Amino acid sequence: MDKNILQIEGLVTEFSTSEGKVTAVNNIDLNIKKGKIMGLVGESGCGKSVTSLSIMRLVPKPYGNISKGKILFKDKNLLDLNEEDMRKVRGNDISMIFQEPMTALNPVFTIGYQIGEVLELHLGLKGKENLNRCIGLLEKVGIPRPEKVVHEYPHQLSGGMRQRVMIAMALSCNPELLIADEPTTALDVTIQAQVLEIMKGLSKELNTAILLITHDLGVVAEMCHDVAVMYAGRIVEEGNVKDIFMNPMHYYTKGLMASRPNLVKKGERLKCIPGMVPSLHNMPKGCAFEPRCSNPMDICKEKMPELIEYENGHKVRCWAVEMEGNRNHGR
Amino acid sequence: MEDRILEVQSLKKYFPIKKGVFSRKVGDIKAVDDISFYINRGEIFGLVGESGCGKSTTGRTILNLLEPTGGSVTFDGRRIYDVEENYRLSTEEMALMRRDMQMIFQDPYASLDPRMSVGAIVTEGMLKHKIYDKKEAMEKAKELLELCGLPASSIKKYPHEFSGGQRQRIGIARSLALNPKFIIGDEPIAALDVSIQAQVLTLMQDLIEQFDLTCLFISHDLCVVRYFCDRIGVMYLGSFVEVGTSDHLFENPMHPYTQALLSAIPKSMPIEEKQRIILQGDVPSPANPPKGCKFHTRCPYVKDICKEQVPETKELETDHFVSCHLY
Repeated sequence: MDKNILQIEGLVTEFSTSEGKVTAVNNIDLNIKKGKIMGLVGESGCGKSVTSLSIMRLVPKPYGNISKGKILFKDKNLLDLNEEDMRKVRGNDISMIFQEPMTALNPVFTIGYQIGEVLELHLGLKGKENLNRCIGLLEKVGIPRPEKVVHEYPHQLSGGMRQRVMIAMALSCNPELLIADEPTTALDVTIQAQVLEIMKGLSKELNTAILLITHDLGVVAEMCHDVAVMYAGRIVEEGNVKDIFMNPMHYYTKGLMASRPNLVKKGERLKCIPGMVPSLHNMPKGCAFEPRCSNPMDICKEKMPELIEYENGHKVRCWAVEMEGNRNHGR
Repeated sequence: MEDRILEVQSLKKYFPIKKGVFSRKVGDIKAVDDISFYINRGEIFGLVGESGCGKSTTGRTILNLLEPTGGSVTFDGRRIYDVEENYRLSTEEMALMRRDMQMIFQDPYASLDPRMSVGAIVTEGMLKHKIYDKKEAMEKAKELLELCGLPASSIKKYPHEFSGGQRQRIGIARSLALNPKFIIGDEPIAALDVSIQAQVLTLMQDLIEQFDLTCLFISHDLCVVRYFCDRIGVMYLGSFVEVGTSDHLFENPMHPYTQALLSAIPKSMPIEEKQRIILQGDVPSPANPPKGCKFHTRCPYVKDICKEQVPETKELETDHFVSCHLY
């Protein structure tokens, strides 16, 4: 059995807004195994990014607040650490890549300065040693002429190069967990392929676990070992990537798979999920997906189903699946 | 005989690069560099390429929203402009022509005026062209919004009250208000969520059928284009590298760039085996495009001739055009 590097237990993150409190992340359990790539999929506003910010304890204060749960990193609860200890974890044990590489890099400092800062802070590298390490890192992520780029500023680089610089920075201290929040969404397909290839290779080489947050199921199919699908703040389905793609059980996952045009033949009608994601202010009482579901039942309106494990770690939060399972069991 | 609704002949659009105190022109960004194609009536033509390859500029230049640098465009049997012959429609004629040619934009947040009500947005064109009076126009707007899947009561609301997908529906309703024959969709679903993308795409499909529309669909998403379009043009640095029916193009891509582009699509299933061609480097700057074939700096099959000579466009199968020295 693979060892878990990160265990999230019952995480609840709330935000206070002018219209009252909203629960962006609602009672989430998530395990990330050592050296494996875990995909977190969902539409905008479903709480994927808030989950990642919660792990890093970067939820914007004072509006946001982690009100319940545990985040165990190597059996140590990150939520119990004081700010100073947490700072030692960030960038060192756990690091993060963001969606928009231009806003994540500081425009007034050189690439070398920004990577070097991390190295100096966590590893105490200075001067020539620091510079050489920076060049080495840039080389590793496939940047051409790294000894020049190290003295350049972010605006001199293209989007794909900037994202590679971000990866170099994130991997500078050999973290055990890398959180990548939509790392390729802003990039073109050919550049996306380059960046994904690099991330996959480095994860294997350094045995780094990755939490890959994305809305692109293609990227998940490409990269991940395990997947969790989120809807309206909750995990609705979780499992091994093959199980999720070959045998999606939750109606939301099924709908997402069916609405991808790559598998639909020309002339066939694209199936789509009707309606929209409910507002966090105004959540349905029962299952959050019930208003859009193609197979709603009476109980779905009343009670939230539990996330139940079926076989092989495949977990689903759906009444229909649960009843089906019970029936088979009783027979 | 095929009925060509739109014919574009060697269209060019250069943007000047200016420098210094006197804004001296020091060069050109060749955003669109000599492209020709046609669209048959009732057809959906897809324009794909990476960012900065000139897809959107092509769309806008066709509509004469950007001043063309060269070439000609003929729409429905009438010339819109012909730069070489110094001919263009007068402003009034052009305004009339625009009724038949509408556009749906990418960013549903930027393309709707936040200070106008939805009713005003949708009826603006009808009132401007004096097709209906105010009351009739409002009725028509309600009808259109319902057709696009929004409640008729939306006409009183303002854009900020809607989500991205709903705003895009408003944009679509607006584009249909004048009963156009031809629509340019400039990445209409790129800014939307996956499940909403499918909704908007099926809506567009239905409307295209219902209103007998012809569509130029600009997108960077190859899966969507394959599914949605009849014929596809692949652009690289302002020029077409390959044009063909979507079946030809996806089953038998000829140009190395198209091959690389298709291989870069993430696989659809985790078990799928995919041979990947990873292109080296980035797209060169259009201000200083490489000599010869523009793709030669990244091409895996580059030969000496590619660095010197611009390849000719050849028809390798019926309706399948490729510009490459390999063939």
